[in-house]
Amino acid sequence: MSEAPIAPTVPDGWSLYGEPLKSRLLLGTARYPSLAVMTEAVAASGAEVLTLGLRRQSPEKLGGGSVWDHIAKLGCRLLPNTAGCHTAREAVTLARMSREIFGTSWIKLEVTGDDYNLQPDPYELIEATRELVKADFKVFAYTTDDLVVCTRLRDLGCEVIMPWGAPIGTGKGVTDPYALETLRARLPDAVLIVDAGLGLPSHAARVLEMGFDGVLLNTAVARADDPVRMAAAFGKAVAAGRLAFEAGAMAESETAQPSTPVVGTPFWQSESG
Amino acid sequence: MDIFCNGDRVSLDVERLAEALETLGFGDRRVVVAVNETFVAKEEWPSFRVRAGDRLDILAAIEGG
Repeated sequence: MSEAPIAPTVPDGWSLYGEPLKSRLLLGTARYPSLAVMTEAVAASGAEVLTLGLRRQSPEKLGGGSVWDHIAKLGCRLLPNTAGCHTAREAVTLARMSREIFGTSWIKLEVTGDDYNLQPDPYELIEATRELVKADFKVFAYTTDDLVVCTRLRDLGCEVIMPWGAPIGTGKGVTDPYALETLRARLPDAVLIVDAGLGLPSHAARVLEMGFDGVLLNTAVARADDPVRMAAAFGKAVAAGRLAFEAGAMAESETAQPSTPVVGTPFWQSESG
Repeated sequence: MDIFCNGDRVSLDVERLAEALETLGFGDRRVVVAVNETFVAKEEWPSFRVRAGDRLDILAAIEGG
């Protein structure tokens, strides 16, 4: 008897702005119970890209090892954000500051237009993207799932577009699957990462099954009862979702189809005898 | 002269940004700076002139999503 081939468990690698990666899960570093838990969660998730930010701080608070020192030791690629910015000018300034301190031109571009649901401002986002692409930044644009906005971002040279699944921190999962399906269908060559709003590993698996290139999340892991185990669960769900996408799902049917062949069904008798 | 450091008014007797950062206690810290919402690269700190009323944002890395 010949041995069965080993089933693939890890989908092929991918890249962001030319940087090869294996994991399609990008992870935030905020809201964990402690830096130690965050460190364990990152390792358990398999994530290779971590987000972080910049804030005003007193010199006293900066003494004796910074958060950045800790995150840098994890050996992951850094993706600084512009969280908290409300205008293109603020976001561009913060991006320039990030590039100097973090030594990377990658920038997770966030420009908030509404403080209630932290909804991105499409007008300021597009303006900031235009400026940053001109200045040789590698923009990861956090946006709503609006097709026209995403198309404009792509046309400006933004190679990684990150539509939300739901507002940040809600954990609701994808609230408008039709919009995301439309995005995927209309922008087949763009790198699309669902960022924000996911709460469960099944949410992440679903968007990967839909053909999205990756997911970025933070709160769903950091605020789980056990962030380390949840990080591992998300890592596996993302890999499973991608594997399923690559495998190609069966076509849905409106009626039941027996799995077991009907020919030779026992106990059946011809009416004619 | 009075300037604003991370939103707070402070009185400093300095002319250049590098001196201001040293006086404020950021001399050896890993920070980045914007003055009046415009980024000022580290290489410009020694020559960048600080004026009364300038608004300094002195930022450092934090965890983020």
